[in-house]
Amino acid sequence: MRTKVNIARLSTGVPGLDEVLGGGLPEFSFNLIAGEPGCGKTTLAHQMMFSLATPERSALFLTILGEPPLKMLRYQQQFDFFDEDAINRSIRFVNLSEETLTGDLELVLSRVKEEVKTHKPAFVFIDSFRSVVRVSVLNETARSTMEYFVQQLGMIMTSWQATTFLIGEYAEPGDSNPVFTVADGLIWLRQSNHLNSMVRKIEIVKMRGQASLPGQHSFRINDQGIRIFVPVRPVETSDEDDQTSLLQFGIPRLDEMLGGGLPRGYSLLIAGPSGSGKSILAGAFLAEGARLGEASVIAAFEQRPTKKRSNPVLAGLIADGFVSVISTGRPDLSVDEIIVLLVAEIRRTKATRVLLDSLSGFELALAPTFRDEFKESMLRLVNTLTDTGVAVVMTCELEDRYSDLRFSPYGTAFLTDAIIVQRYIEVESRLRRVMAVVKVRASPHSDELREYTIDKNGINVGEMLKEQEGLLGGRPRKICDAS
Amino acid sequence: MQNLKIGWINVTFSDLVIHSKTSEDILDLVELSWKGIDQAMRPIIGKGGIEALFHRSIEITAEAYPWLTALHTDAPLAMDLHALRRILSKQGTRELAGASDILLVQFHNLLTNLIGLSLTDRLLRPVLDPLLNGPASKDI
Repeated sequence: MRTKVNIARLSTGVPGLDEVLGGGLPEFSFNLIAGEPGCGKTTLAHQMMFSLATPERSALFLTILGEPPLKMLRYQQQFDFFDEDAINRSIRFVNLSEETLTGDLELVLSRVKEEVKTHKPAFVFIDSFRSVVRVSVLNETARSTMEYFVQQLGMIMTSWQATTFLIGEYAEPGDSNPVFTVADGLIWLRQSNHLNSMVRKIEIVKMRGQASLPGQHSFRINDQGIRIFVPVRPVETSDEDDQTSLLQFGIPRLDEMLGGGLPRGYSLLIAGPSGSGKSILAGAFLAEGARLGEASVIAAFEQRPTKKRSNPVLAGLIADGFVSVISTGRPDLSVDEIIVLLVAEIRRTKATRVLLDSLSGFELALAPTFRDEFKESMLRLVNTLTDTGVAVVMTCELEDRYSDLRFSPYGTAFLTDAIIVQRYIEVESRLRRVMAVVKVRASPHSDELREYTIDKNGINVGEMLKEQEGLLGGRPRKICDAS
Repeated sequence: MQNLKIGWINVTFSDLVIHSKTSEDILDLVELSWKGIDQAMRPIIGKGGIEALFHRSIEITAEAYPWLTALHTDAPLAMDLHALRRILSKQGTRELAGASDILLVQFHNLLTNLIGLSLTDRLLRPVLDPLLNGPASKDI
């Protein structure tokens, strides 16, 4: 009978990395963590090491050249994962700079062997491996020697059953470097700078024996270390639930106009000019949820939702704990990060309603590098959120153009299930407001254009202006005048 | 402000003078201490790292004990403990003990400034505890 070897997959302790790797790190694998200086290679290695190492399955961190060990210890201990109790207990640092400087790869290899033999580590990290290569090139050591060195290293580590990481500065994975060939796993870190934002991304270029998540995934480094924002997998929801459950605004006439409310799992775009009351209307939706004991999540990209003056209803809901707020004030925000944060909060609070206020603010909040693919990002964001079963309300500022009927400057109206449009009209030298439900996908809804007013209690939807026509042209006329 | 004492060291080299230890006894303990520090730190921060810290500590200590600068001439880069012993042994017992105390404190301070107190102590205590808080101090 043929039996396959069972490769154990280790949990790396880096949020999101196990998913990106395709279920964890294969035990005894020989990996390269590569990228340009400052992209987080050593941090990633340390975070994994502190999570993986135990006194029984210890780690050996071999420093070669590059970042001086003193500085490495100085800076890495700023992260929460750095546990100094582990030093010399489950983690041992060994400096091999002297051997490396000789350019004699055999000498480096024998020192590595010696250290591995002495400490019997389950995990070996070599930082920075690129410096080994540079020194050998300076000594005109032949490429074949380098290949031999890498192969030997890989063989030694595998025979010692040590999961190994080489950390090195490489520009791109394209060339035929022997390290790339020998390595079982290639973990590539990148960073791109644009204006005052820097976006970091990780890619699993190669991981033998398992299907890693393709593509580049954004990550952030903060006090806790690295956190990777993995695309959120949708949760299977019952179609029946989605269809039958309607979420109201608590504004009677508006709910009627929507055909009873907004179905769960639907997205709604509220479009209108500045000051038309988009955020107030969206706030009413969350307030009605709170009245029914439902939690909501808000990602506010424009006004600070906690500010009482701008939207007292919303500020009250936040203060009372019915609405939780996602922080969006970072200059290097990625769509994946917003999605991960929102979905985590939806799951934590069991929220039924989500508000994105507003699309234009969202576009500006994104790191410039993501703005080119804004429409695709929006589609991904909306689909992921609605897949969780919540109703998503988005506001969008729309310049009043009386010559055409547009709902979004981004051409994103197609990806929403429902649209409410708000307009200003001039009647008898007064600026009045009207709104209409333009679309509710697969649901009967009103075609009425109704006047509404805003007072301290919120939005009041009134009657249709039956005696007027040409409302969407901005300058309606009395029907009798026209005849 | 720099510390002039390592909190967990119960018995300094100067204390040994008070307790009638000879210069040779103190020099032995000083040399053993630095050998231990070298053995503990060299694998982690490398030969260059430990030598740089040692020489910087000498430089700071030499502000109070100028005769220590001779070490830079005798062993400008290396961590030459024989040279250190030779220079110390030219001084009186009280002077060599005082300089050795400050040298150790300055090294500890430098390392603390770089990698923090707790990690510094985690690396140095296993070496210095048995020497300075162990049998040698119990003899006093």
